[in-house]
Amino acid sequence: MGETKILVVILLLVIIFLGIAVFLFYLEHKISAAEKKIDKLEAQQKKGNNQS
Amino acid sequence: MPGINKNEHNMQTFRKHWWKFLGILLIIWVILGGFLFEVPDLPVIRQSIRNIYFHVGMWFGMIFILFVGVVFSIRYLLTNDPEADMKAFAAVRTGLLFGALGLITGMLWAKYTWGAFWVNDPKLNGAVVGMLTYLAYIVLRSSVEDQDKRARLAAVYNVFAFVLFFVFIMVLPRTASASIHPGVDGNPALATGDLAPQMRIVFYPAMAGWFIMAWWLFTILFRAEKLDARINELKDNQHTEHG
Repeated sequence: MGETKILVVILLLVIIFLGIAVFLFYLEHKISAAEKKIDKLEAQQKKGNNQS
Repeated sequence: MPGINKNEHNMQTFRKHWWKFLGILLIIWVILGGFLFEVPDLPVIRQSIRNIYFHVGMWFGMIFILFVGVVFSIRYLLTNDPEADMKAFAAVRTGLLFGALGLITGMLWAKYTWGAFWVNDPKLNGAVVGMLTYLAYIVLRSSVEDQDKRARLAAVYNVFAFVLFFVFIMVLPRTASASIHPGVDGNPALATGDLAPQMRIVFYPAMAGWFIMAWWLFTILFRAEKLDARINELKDNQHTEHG
């Protein structure tokens, strides 16, 4: 019985930790996408400045 | 991705993120080993010794990332590079999170061994005062409008806070007459004989795992901070153009 409880706790902790890790990867993915957008906007702004 | 086949793309992704996967594997190892492997059955502390992989790991992770923060603050003072200031800020925020986790795991441990979540002990009080010193860093940053002034002030304060933190957690508890917390004569779990040999196969990976997790979070916070600065710069430029 005690052994099963410990296994449940371990499983829960592993799932919570994996959830956090996946969330961190998701955040990185979002940041990368935003960085790409900003790169484009900055390039556009530079282009606009050069033309004017 | 054009020009790159899928295998190459996967390889590139792995090369970029391998250390994060390593960190994840290490922490999973720590959870498994920490709960399942044999530990010495000592009086009072009993099975709660397993918390050493979490509490000490998170606390050392905090010290590591706060040290990284100081390095970037010093770099800012030497070079005036705004990115160094952003990195220092990200490191302090990561350090505060790891410090809070270290305090929570420590409080749980204290409850099971000393009978209370908090006891009046120089090491514990020093730890919380040290954390408050770092909270003041965040307050200080938010109270200064001018970017350069804020970065310079924060960098100087960060160096000062790191030294103070060590005084609070290392120096002052040693000068006090007694402390219930282990490690007053040295670093807990690091000196020879502090840790049972069978615990080392979990403890050292735990250190590496928590360090990697702290570094990972630090990089995310830095990138988000930099992104914010770039958006503000874009907005400012647009205002200037239209104004």
